[in-house]
Amino acid sequence: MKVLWINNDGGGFADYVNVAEDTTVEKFFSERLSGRSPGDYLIRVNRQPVPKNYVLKEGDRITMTPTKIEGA
Amino acid sequence: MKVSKRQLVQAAHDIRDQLQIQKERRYKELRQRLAHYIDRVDQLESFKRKLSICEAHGWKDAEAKVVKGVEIALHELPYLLPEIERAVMPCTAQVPSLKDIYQELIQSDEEFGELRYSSKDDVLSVTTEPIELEGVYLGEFEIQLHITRLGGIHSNEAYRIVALDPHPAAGNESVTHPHVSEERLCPGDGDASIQMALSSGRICDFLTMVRSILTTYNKSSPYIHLSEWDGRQCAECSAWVNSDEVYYCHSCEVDLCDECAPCCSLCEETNCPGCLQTCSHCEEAVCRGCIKECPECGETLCSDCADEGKCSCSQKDEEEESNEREREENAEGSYRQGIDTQVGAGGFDSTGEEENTPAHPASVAAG
Repeated sequence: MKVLWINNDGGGFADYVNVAEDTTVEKFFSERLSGRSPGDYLIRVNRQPVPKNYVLKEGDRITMTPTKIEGA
Repeated sequence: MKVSKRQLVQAAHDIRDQLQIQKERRYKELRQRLAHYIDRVDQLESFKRKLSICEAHGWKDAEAKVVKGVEIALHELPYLLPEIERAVMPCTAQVPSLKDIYQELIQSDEEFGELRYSSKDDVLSVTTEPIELEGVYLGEFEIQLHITRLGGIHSNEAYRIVALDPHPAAGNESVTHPHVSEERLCPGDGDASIQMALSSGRICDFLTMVRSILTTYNKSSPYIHLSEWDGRQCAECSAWVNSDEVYYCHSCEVDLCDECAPCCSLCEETNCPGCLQTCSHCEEAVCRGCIKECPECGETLCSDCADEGKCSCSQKDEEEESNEREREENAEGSYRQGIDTQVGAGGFDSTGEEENTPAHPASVAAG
């Protein structure tokens, strides 16, 4: 199934990506942003906060925004 | 004042209009960059024809000139391609629907507790929590999105960061945050993401990213380091000094760093180098309070030397007095010697030494 993933880390791109059935938000995060801590991101699904065991559904909109961004 | 649904719709409408304008401008910019690139490629085609003509006629000098032109045109080409790439990327962002923008505004209201909208200025704003970085309290900040400026090519012009309870850096009042100067944020690592979010109408993502920058301190490139936030600037070398490490000149009261804060040799109070004077006798640096001026010759001496009468004019007087005394003594001595010489001619001096002096053998023989 496809979900819309908006990654505000780096270039800030938005794209539809394929995910396996029963993928939780936690698993999706670890797959896409491996090595990062979920605590350093504001994660929203369909504009709402969700628990880490939330199972993604077709067409979900997931945003991941770092809570620490270094200005200059 | 909390924003009404009607106002949100109006704001969403205005945002969409501006994003449409921005997209048209970006297409225009892309066309211009492409045209510039194509001009340069056409120029190379022209050079190719000219080289063929030169070769056919055996025009060696002209051929060299054409090659020079090719060299210049080639030098510019590598810079043009990345510019085109940069112009293409924002054009890929889709102008969102009115519904999407409206939902962004609702989400922003939920994330920040309150989204405000000024229909008069067409400005959306949210307020951050009070921000404190590394123990330095900076206060709350208002993130303002000026909707009418969203249509510009550079989205960074569209927002301002206003300190609501300003605690600016001691050295520059326009720097209200290590990464904010004159209400402009230097987004650093967040620049591309913020531009992309604004171009795509993702207002909530834009606001949360700005908040993430405001709540993070990048010590490698702030406008002013937090360690210098409450600092004072040394009047001598312009270095920033922490408030609790600053010295001040007891004479003119300017701030000084520890390296530019010499002490008076007598009273040991800190003074800036400009307020210390050198004693003309002992050459020690002393403050204004410890310097004295000779009323006779105007020479400056430290109070110790002045009290001891070390001024050169006093010494000169003493010297003259001593010389005078010496002269007088010498004169007296000469006078007495003259008298004695006259008396001695009679056969005896006052000491009677002549009497005991043995006679010269020659005089004895002559006698």
